[in-house]
Amino acid sequence: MPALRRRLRWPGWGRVGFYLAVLVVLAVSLFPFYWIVRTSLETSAEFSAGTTSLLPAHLTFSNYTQAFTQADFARPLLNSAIIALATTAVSVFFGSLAGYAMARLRVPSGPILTFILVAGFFPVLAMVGPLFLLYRHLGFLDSIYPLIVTYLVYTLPIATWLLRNFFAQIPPDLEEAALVDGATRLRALWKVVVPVAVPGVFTAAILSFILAWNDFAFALSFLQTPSKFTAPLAIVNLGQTQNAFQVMYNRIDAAVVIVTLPIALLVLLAQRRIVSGLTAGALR
Amino acid sequence: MSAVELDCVAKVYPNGTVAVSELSLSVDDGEFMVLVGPSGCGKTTALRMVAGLEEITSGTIRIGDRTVNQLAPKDRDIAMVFQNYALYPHMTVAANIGFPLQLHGVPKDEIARRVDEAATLLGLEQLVDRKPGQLSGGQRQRVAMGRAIVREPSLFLMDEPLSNLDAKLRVQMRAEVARLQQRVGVTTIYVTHDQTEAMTMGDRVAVMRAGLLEQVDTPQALYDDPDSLFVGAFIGSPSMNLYQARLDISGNASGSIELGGQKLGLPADVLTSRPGLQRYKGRPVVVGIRPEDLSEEDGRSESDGGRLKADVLLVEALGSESLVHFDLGVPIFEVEGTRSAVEDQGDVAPHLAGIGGTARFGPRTTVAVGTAIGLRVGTARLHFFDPADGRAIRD
Ligand SMILES: Nc1ncnc2c1ncn2[C@@H]1O[C@H](COP(=O)(O)OP(=O)(O)O)[C@@H](O)[C@H]1O
Ligand SMILES: [Mg+2]
Repeated sequence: MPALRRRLRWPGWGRVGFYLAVLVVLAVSLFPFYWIVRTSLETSAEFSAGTTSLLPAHLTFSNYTQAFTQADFARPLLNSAIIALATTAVSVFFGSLAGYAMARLRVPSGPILTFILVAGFFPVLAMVGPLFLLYRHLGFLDSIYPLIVTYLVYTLPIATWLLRNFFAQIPPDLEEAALVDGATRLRALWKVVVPVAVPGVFTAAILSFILAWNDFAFALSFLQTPSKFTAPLAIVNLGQTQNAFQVMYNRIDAAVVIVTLPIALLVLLAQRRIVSGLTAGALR
Repeated sequence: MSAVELDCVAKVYPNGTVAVSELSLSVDDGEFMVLVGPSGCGKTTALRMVAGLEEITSGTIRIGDRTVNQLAPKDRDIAMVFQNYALYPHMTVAANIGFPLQLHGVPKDEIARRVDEAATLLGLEQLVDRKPGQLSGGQRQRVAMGRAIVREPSLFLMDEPLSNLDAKLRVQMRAEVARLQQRVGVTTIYVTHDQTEAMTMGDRVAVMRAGLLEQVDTPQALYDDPDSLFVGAFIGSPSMNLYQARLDISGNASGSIELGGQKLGLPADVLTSRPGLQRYKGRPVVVGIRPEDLSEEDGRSESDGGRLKADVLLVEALGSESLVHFDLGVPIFEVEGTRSAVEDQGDVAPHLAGIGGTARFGPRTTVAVGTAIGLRVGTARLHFFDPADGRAIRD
């Protein structure tokens, strides 16, 4: 429809307005992040001197290096990585099995699904108290592994629900073909159903990872020893110095940038997967 | 390669639907058996029970010398071609074809060799690196065949594998699939609702209706000697002309049937070759006349006597022959369940369905629409059925 497109292009005031709106939204959502990056690249002297320009006077990476040399930010990053990856792996694995069962077997999945969704959106702060008491009884406090279980309370239902919906869209013929070709049900699931549901698997994995990686409330409540801190929790302490009145905001911001990067990369990489994941052709 | 034996196999779905009731069928080693019947008669269900994709409610299925009732699909040594092909969308053509071998632990280089072989046999050499999404319908169909033949199983199962192709490709693939089966010689059960496909492809054809087996025989025997009204009406295109008539037998020698207001004489040998007809003396029967057993009255030959008068409704000149649709003044005898199936095949002009009949005339016929003509009836090839239970009346 070239005619239609040309008419939209020029004199396309509607289009100009559209891009203006996009610019505004982009500015509003990206400016805070820009400011964090900017601050993280300043010295604390410059920071204290106050802001005079949108651009930093000169760039320094000292905040980044200090985060690792003076404050040992590597340890909490590692903790967070262990927790988030483990949460993701368990969510996707069991979410696939449960989602598959609900998509294929004749279980009354309606009520279960509703329950799962409610569980997945249960307010975090309402959960902190009871879990704290429970974990104290079990001796689970101040350890990173119980955090994985905690996050699973949220990620597993969401992953199950998402994957169930993806699996339900995959024609049963596909796995029946695999069964006849010589696969067991489990093998058909891993070799055919899950690969075809790749967009769903990636979405579930990313959501699980982000939830575990970003959590602050549970980590704050359950952890005490600094060496066990997760990255978000460690960031708070990172700003502290011997001088109780001085907070190293530049260093905090450097850590925030470090913590944000994996998530941003993950989403960018997975986005391509999600788009190219399912090309039709199994069926006519 | 092995024979397959279904013994009183039944399937009742959890919701109470009886999809297959008491199906007994033996397929010989290397045979191409076609299961045909109108949509919903239980063909797919029967095939899926053989595949192990559907539990058997009762009965026994044997493949070769093993009873397979309790075996998982992967242990039955079968290959299946699905109606929608069910190709794995995330794998290339080569990976799709090689998948059954991979699952059976065949070494990589041998997989490559056998995939190559199958691809060559099916003319897919150029396409092995494509994904199913980049293939045409006919190519996908071939890949599905390739995936089935590559493992050299003891049994092929095919569920309407050609029904998603357009008419021209369907005819072409019909021959190709039959040729391929002959070449590899693997026992095959092939499901279709299309009687032309059944007739042209099968060594033998099993006609199913409402979960029951009506008749199993070679295509020609089904055509010439149907056991029931249903088979008579279902097999053949254009389909058999069926009318309710009254049978009169005078003495023991000859008789006649009364069709509407007309009388059709039956020579003695028609009655002697069908002794069962004696029981229907003076009673209604259903008489079946194949379109090719009606010919144009030319006023000369007096050979086998039978004549009917009819009004011509429509003449379809097909080049090699002409189909003459006529009205005898008698309604067509409706056989439950065949009407829609026959209409599916598109060989009855919709406005003519339900009245009259069809005759096959030579291509140079001069009969004109709206005129009355005389039809000579090949009485020796008439079919008689009991109007109540639909069984053929023979002995
Ligand atoms: N999973 C199922 N649950 C309940 N009824 C079914 C199921 N599959 C098929 N049926 C019913 O069983 C009958 C036979 O179906 P099917 O074997 O698919 O027939 P065909 O392949 O000859 O068209 C139909 O009445 C159909 O509605
Ligand atoms: Mg079917």
